[in-house]
Amino acid sequence: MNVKRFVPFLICPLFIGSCATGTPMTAIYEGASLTGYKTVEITPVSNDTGKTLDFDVAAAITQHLRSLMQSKGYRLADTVAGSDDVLILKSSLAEYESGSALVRWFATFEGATICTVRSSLIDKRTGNALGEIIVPRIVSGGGLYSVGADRWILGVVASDIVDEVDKRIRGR
Amino acid sequence: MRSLSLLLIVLAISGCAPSVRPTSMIPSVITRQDSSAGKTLVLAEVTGGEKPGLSNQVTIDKQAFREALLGTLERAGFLAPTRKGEPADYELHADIAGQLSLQIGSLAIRSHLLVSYRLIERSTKKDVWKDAIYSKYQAEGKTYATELQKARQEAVEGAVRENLGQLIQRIEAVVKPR
Repeated sequence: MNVKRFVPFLICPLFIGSCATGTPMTAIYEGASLTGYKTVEITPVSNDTGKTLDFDVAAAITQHLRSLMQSKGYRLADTVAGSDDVLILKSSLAEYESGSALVRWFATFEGATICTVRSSLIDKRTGNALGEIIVPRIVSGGGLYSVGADRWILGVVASDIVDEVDKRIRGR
Repeated sequence: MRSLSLLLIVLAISGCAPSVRPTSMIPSVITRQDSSAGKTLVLAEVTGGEKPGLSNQVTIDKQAFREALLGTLERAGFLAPTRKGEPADYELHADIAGQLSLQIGSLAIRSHLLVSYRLIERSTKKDVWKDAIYSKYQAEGKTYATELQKARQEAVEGAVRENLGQLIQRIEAVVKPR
């Protein structure tokens, strides 16, 4: 029996799942529209997990949201004076589990890194709620190749939120 | 040939995606102060949702959700026999905005559900309440393959049940008894 033939089959599962799976879920309320906003106010992400975490996860997500929004060409409300219409992005960390790459190495799906963020979209001038975005993401495989997932998953979640907001503002 | 047989066996064990059961998605405990004195509503439409595909993912479509929602409203007394000759007071719209099931352990499935609701007062034709309700539910299988599929089904049903439970509480707060 040629053992070498089976090596790729043994190694591949270790890589599978080293990316974060999940997709954003978005609800835009009837009659609401996000098109045209150029300025966004990002409120500090609150920690609604009810747990004390190893590091300030909520602050890290806030920082990701701010830099990603700016990289898309949006102005942040606290960096400009007298803005026009402002979209408030109010987010909360709904769940977070840091997981373990070592556990994932031994058993795929065990030791998963989990992060779910809920964002409300609000028009600052009227105070009207425009919609909600929920982003659940999970890293359940990848073994040692997924080391650091407890940190980089935050950027993935923030990127999902920013992409979703950008898509709606551009009317796509 | 042997590999093909093995693949077929695995597929057979995995089975097809089970469909959700609307009756299992109705919250069991619904408290309503006085259903006979309360106002009534009609379910206008349910949109969104996904029909089960060829994959092993279990999804909720608008028809199954509608059945569960009607059962819930009925159990809560909102669909109780409307007063003679009087139309219902409110109209409820629901849009299944998003759903997602993720495997989070060898045998654990967690389902997420986001539904956007709108309650319209029929006399004024104005929105009296609108919100998106997010719910999640985790189900555990006991052994691999078929039990995992069952867990997928239970997770989706549970997420719907949680969502409808929250909905009734929210409607209760808006729709005051006469």
